[in-house]
Amino acid sequence: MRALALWFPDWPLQAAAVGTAGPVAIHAAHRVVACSAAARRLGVRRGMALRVARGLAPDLKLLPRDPQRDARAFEPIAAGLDEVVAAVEVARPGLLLIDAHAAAHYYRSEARATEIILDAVAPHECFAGIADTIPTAEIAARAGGVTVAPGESRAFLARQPLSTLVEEEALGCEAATVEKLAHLGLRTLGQLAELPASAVTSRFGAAGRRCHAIASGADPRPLTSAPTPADLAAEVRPDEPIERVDAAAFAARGLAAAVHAKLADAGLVCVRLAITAETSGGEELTRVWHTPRPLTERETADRVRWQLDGWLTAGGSGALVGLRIAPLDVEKPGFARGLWGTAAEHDEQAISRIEALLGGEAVLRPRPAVGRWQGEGEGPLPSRVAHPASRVVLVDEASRSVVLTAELTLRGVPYAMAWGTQRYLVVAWTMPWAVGRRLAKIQIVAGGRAWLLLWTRQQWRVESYY
Amino acid sequence: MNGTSVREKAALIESLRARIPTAAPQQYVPVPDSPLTAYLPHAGLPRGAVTRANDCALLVVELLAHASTAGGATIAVVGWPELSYDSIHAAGGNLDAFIAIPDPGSSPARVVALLLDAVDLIVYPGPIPRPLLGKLRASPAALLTLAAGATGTTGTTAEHRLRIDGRITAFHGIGAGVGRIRSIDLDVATHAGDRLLRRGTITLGKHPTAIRRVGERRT
Repeated sequence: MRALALWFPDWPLQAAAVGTAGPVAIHAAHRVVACSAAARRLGVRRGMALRVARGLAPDLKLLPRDPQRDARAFEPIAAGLDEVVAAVEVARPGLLLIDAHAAAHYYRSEARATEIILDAVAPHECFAGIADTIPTAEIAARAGGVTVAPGESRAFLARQPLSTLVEEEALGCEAATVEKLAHLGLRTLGQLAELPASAVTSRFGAAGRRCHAIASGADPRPLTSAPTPADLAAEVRPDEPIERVDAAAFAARGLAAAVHAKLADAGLVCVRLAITAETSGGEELTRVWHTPRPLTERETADRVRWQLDGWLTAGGSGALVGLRIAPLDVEKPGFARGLWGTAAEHDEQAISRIEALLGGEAVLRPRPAVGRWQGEGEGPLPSRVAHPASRVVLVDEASRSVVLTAELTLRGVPYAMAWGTQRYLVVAWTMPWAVGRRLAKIQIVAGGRAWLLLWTRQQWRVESYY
Repeated sequence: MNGTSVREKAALIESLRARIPTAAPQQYVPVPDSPLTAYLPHAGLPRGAVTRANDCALLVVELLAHASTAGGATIAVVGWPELSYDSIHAAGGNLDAFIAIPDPGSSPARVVALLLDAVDLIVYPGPIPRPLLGKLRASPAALLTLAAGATGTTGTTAEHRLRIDGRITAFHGIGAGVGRIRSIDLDVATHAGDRLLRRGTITLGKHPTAIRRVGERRT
């Protein structure tokens, strides 16, 4: 897979159409969220307290953040690109994702496809990054529009600063985790990727695993995680065609609630969403939104509202007479693929395909059990694990059942063992040893095999055997 | 034969053995540093071919443990939920090298086919369908099966370039109400086609000091 990310730097400023000549900053919660090049030259930075920014640039022009304005202004760009490439998806206002493989196939080369795409969005300043995975493409776009050759993701990422992970919100990395990684002395993604994934995961959990996966050039999202049931979509045909933004917002909330109720019933979360509207002119408009993390109901409603606003404001399409939102990609919540370690990229591809065939949890990575083996001694452990319901009966020479006494000894001398219909003569056995407070184990040799038996609920259970 | 020539011979064998992996670096998944190593031609399992082991999980565990650590192979285990990964870990195996597909559903052969280009060694206890053998020949993976023949063949083992049989002959360290299993004796025989390559006994376990041999009980 090849992904192309189209990044529009300082999109909130481009959307606000304030011109980038003077120092301008967009703010929210008393902090700078975006600033113009002129403001940057004066030392203003993203995340800076407004007070400090004003001190650095006294004539700084300030605008409140308005995600709706950002999205509204972004829709015509995405719509314009629909004319030249198929499958344009929105990661966030200011960042588009395009299937680079398909585009390169159509235009015969990635370079030519990029040229045509950049021409299509011409007046707007933007950078196109191409790489093997979506997160790498997003980083490549931010690095000034780099085309990362197939298989070169790791080498490219190794040189990128760690801070990239938080600068691009579409990567979905937690700022607190990245800050902690920086405190450990990590400066580049290469240094992060060199750490063992299991160590990063055990220290920083899923958030750390995500950072590590992105730094290693992997897509932390499975290509196909769970089959998407068809009936998750929600549709509404309003009594009166939607012409105003407030009516669109109301419809968006209702649709989001309906979809999320269905997702909750199915025990799934949505990471890719298609929004479709039918206009009074009979035209059908569709836009796909792609997110790094599962959408909450509110985030879904926001995206639907922004999208409808974009269509209504762009004009020319008339009132909306029908709306439909459909989750395209769903995951099981908390599903953390690769939690148990790393694998080569081709390995990951094969795993994705097997998961597509068998379902998301078919491929497992074994981990050593901690504390399960106690008192077995230093010899080889049993090589086969028995079914948890495998009961056996031990008897002495007079066919009396050999059981465990309260003093942790065997009552009787084991002579034979019955496992299902099989009968084995016992040739050797150990004294029982306690495991925890209620359980005890013995090893016995019978029928040419050795068995590890567990005494539980007044019965012998086969835990494993050689 | 005097002592010097024995030493010379040993040195010669050693130097020849050292050249084996370099002579055929690509065609075998190495299984180094194990008592089994000496039983395997080119000290490994052939890539692009089926190796058949008998139903002796202990032998397979020993193979996998050493292929995954010093051998550095990536390993997929398909459709064998009983295999104990703890025992592989205890035998020195590197579990990071493993993926497991305990339930390959109704199309295990398809799952194996998908893994052919992804891992060095695939373990699948079931019979190998014929169409898979063709794909296997063109792939870099070694396939280890526990089944007698390919499906559709009448018990022939012609497809198996290598056959490894193991049989537990003794558990050491355990007696009548005493001790713990400390080591296990395994009779091993390897065949290439119908030709016997090597037969012998290996001892697995950290303390191969025989406290008491427990073979069969006399009644």
